[in-house]
Amino acid sequence: MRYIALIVVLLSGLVLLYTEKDLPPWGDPNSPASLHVSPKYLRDSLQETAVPNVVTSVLADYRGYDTMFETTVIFCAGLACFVLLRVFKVERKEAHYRHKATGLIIHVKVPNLLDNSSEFERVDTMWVPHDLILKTMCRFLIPFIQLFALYVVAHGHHSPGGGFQGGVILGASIILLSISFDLRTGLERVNERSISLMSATGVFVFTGIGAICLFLGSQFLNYGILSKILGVDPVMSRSWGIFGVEVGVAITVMAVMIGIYNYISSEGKLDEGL
Amino acid sequence: MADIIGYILGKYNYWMAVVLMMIGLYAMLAKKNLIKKIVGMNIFQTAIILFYISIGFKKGATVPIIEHNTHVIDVAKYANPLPHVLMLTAIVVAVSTFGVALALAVRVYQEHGTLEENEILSELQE
Amino acid sequence: MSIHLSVVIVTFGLLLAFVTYTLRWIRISLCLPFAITVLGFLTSCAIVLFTQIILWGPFEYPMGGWAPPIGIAYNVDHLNSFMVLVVTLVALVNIIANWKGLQNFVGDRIGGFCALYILYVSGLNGILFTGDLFNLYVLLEIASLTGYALLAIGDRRLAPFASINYVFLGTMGACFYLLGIGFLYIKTGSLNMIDVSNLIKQLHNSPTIITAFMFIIVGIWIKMGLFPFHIWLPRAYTHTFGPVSSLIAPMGTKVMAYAMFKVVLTVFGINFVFRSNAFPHIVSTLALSAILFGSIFALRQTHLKRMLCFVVITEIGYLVSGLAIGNSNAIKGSILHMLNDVFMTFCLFLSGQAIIERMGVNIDGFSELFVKTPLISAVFITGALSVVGIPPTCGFFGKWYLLLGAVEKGNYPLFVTIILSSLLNLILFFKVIEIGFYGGKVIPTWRLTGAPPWSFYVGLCFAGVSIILMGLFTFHLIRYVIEPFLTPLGL
Repeated sequence: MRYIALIVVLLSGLVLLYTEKDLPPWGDPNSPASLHVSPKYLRDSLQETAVPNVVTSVLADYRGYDTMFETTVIFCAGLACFVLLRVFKVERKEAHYRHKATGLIIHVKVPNLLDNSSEFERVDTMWVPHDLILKTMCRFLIPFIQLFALYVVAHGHHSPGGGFQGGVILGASIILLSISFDLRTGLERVNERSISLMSATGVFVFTGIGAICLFLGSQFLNYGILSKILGVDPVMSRSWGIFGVEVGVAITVMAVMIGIYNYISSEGKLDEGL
Repeated sequence: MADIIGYILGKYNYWMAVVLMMIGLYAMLAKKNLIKKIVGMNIFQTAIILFYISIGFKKGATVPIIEHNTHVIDVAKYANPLPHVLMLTAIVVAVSTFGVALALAVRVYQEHGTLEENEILSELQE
Repeated sequence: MSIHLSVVIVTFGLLLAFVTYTLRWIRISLCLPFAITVLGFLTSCAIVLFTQIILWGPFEYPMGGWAPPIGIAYNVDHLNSFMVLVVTLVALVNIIANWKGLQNFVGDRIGGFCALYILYVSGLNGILFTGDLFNLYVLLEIASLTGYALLAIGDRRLAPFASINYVFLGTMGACFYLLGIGFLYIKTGSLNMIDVSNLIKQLHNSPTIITAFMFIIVGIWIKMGLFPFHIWLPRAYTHTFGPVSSLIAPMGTKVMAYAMFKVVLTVFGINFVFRSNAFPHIVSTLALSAILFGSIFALRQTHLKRMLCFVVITEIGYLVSGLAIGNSNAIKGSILHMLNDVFMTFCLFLSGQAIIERMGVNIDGFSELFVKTPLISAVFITGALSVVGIPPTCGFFGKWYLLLGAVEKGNYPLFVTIILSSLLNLILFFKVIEIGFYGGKVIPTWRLTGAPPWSFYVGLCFAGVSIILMGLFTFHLIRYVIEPFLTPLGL
């Protein structure tokens, strides 16, 4: 198998290298890729969509249909993890408990024995002590991370950013909570039902905005027609439409990131994570 | 000699992308451990992403964000935005495929107790 | 005339899939009926759209109001609207037929399963309609990801490993396709299919365009399951769950075949492809090997589903052989065979699923099966006759046009191979029929007695009747569906 792989790799590499004399040099501003469609995006983005960041306007307006399917792809990934891994009835055979006053850890082979006790708290099988610094620092950092994420989403129009980037940072903040504390703390804040509903809501918002454009009489995802209900001129309504879809994308990406982490780290049981 | 060096150095972005692609492809085909194959798949996809991004570069160009009071837009001063847009999509697709592949690897481990392909195949043949 | 129906079919499919998934958290028993309603709605939209295309001709739908190549456009014509109709109809009949069985097997995950099902069908519909190369890649990934998840639900022990092998090969195929688009973009700067086809007319000698063509076509072949890239197919389709295999096996590879025809004929053009003699020879060899390999290996199998997978590999060989021959009759035959093959494979897998439920998977143990289950075996035999190619079932007509094209072009190896494989398929299915009527070596053990539920009868009757109807209406199909697609391309 290794020799077949080596032959395939060498052949593909040679084929790819054979084309290199034909490709334009690196950094050439007159290559065909930069002369055909892109100048139109660069020149007209500010007048037609009132969004200075050309990447955002191309992503969410000119090629917004691709972005809708991309959001669906990430939704499918979250859905696939749910369908493949989730087990609902978990029989727990043993548990570890920590006595809060003295810090003693006991390993109990009778399930659910000390769950409701006020002196004992449940810890993971792979828990290590001396996590006070980690927990405190993460508790300080998480709100600022989320604030930055909201900034990235809202300023996608004017600086690099947008829905995907902001959504990933939002998801990362909750995953940080789950890693530094434990999975059950993360699930208390954002439980499974709200994650699933949020992931569906985000894509629903994106597709819904497109459907509203369809019902108002124009083509799918033509935000200019939203000026009828928003009351602004068509150029500003494009800007608002782009913002609306970015918010939808951020919600979905956040929910799916948290969902994938939850299901994979706990092998579907949502009991103990990393 | 000078133009061969110029040929290599002038297009070194393509060389790098091809080398990375081949490393990823080899890992995906030749390695026996499932996680190594998944990582190889990710390397292959990342190399394609780098290849596309390098298409959009223009010498001396800046980020494609237009200032508010610009009247004349010189297209050669701004990087090409379209490959960036396409690759945002490709990165999301790569991450999604990675997530689904990891979920499947977890399921394979739950059923067979190992992640080595030859051990799984010999167990399946029994 | 509403041109918006093309978008409605794909995007309302998405919207309602998300609603299906949300329903799971509200009231889980509503998920399956809602999914069936959604598929019924999509099928009726497809019927209306196809009628409109016949009456008023094809159209182009720009998304967001931006005309291509600035934005993305849907190119809706006779062939892809008919294929969308076929895909949604088969998906609807499949889920109706398996109504009772699904709730028993999937259990709590029914909401996610229904959402994945509708998303898979929407992804396939999008691949059929789209006119933008990168949009095709994204939709291909939707169909792939949902396919990986659906295929892994089956046999708890064997399905995850089969699915992860499919993940590696499928991602390799999709990445090769993406790389090919990258090369086309470097040279032309555009991503719209019609725009690229205009721009590369002057660039036919460029090594970049040739490499782009090679990578795109190899990527599509890997996803299609053409020999020697078929390695994922037997394992993935065998170990999965009945309703899923009768959804994915008919449609997954055939939609990729449509993508191959669209890219090769529309973007690159038949003149580019047949410029040198290398391409027809290589594709001929691959198609020949696929047909022979599929037919011969199918004879060796004792597992019914695995045997049907090798029959699917043979059918893919027929689709590619039309491209290898390259003249008008052969391509007409391939496209006709692609449309017919959806129904044939659906028929075989659906009746095969019922047979496996009753008698297990070993073909040698099928004694007295056909005597005891007359309707299921009648449908299975109809599908078998269609694969062999006996008129008036639909399989005959595709092969007829292929043979006609092969003789006209003088490609006698393919001519002989197609006839030989029909005979091999005849031997294959007669072996099953003989065991079913007269008994085999193994004593039969009945797992499940009794008739299937009424919804399954609906599916079986549809499967059997559709094969005969597609055969009877062949000339209408060619005149109204295939020729309007091929005539603008000069074929």
